Amino acid sequence: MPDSPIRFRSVSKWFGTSQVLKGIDLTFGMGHVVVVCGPSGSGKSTLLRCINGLERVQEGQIEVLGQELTDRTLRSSGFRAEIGMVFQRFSLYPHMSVLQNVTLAPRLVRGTTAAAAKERAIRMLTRVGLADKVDAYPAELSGGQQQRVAIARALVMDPKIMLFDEPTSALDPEMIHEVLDVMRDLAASGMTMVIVTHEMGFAREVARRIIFMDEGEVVEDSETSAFFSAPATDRAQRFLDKILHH
Amino acid sequence: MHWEVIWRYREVLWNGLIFTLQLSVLSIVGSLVVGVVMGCLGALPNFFLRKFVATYVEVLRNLPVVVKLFFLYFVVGLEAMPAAVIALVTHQSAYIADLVAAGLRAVPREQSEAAYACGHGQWQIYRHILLPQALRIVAPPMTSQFIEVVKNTSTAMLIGVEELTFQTQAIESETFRGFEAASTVTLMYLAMALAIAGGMGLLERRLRLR
Repeated sequence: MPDSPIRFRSVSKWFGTSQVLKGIDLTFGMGHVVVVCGPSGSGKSTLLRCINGLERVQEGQIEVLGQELTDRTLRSSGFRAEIGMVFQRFSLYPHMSVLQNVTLAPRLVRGTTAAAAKERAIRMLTRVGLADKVDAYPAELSGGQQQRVAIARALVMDPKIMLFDEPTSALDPEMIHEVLDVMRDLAASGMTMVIVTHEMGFAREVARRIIFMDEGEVVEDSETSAFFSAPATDRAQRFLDKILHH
Repeated sequence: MHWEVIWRYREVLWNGLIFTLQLSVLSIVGSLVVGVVMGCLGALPNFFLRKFVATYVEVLRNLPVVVKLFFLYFVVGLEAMPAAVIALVTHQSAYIADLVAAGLRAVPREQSEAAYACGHGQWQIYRHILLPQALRIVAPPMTSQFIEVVKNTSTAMLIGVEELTFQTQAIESETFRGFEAASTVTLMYLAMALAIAGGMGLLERRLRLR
């Protein structure tokens, strides 16, 4: 296993004529939790979505788990399953029960037997505190519970990296903590995590490093304590002022 | 009124009904399969496939069923039954393809992204994630499509398939009892349509997205 599971080399991306990533150079450490923050439209979600190939870049290279992302590597379903992802919303399959949601990929992508997939799924659901909801359908769950199922669905594939794209932004305030608790446990277990979030309290507590983006650039990339105590740039300072004192 | 005519010709009507049901079942299954495949191909990010499906839909939707029927029977020279089934399938599958494509567009994009991130390939994403949701979304208008197929089977009489409408006309010309024959067959078509609507209603309730 390489010690930098994710590496961006001069990565640029355009949507039409507007450039959303401008020459990004970044490396992420094994077992590290990194929070990516910044105002909306800063390119933070795009950056995250590049890591598992949901967005393709026009310039530069991205290396994930020792492999350069190309059409060929991304076609390998086994490779994509190494990178778990949790979305903002609408990501559970509404026509399947919780158990079916969590066992589908192990069965179809990994070829696990139904019994083994079920056993493992229940273990993951227990880990996120939802062992009693295996037969429920997504619409019968609260937003917080749905996100925890989504985390279990990603974990069941035994990923090396977990990506979180604003996992609490669509939740009612009283449900945010239950999702953050699960993520906190996951961080403590040594999972490599890249998290796009506005939860600055959580970032301060869990992240080793904060990447602050604005207008497609990495404006600041510092140790968490340094970022919060004395951000190096005005832009980061203004962002923090806004988000911490609203 | 001479309703006893209907009883006397019950076997003729029954045979007509069998033909109508055969045509209906084959054409519904065929147009559903072709329509779903076409709808999916049209949704894939491939310029040529999209154009191909758009052309298929436009051309076949704009031709009357009877014209298709005559073309297949007189020009291509098919037997009556295959000509009828192919005409009905090509006709209705054009509408169904459009419907399925609309259903696929209505599924949130996050669904396929989540499945892609879990490692599923394109085929699995369509088969297990997108199509089951799209078909549930378009189940109500799909019911009308199926009923449309049953009604259109009556055009097969024009190339000599002895289905229900054909037999009705036969009874009329032999007995001059057009009123009784037409009323009976009206009720029979109505019953078939109601059976489809009822069956689809049950299916919808069972498979409803909770």
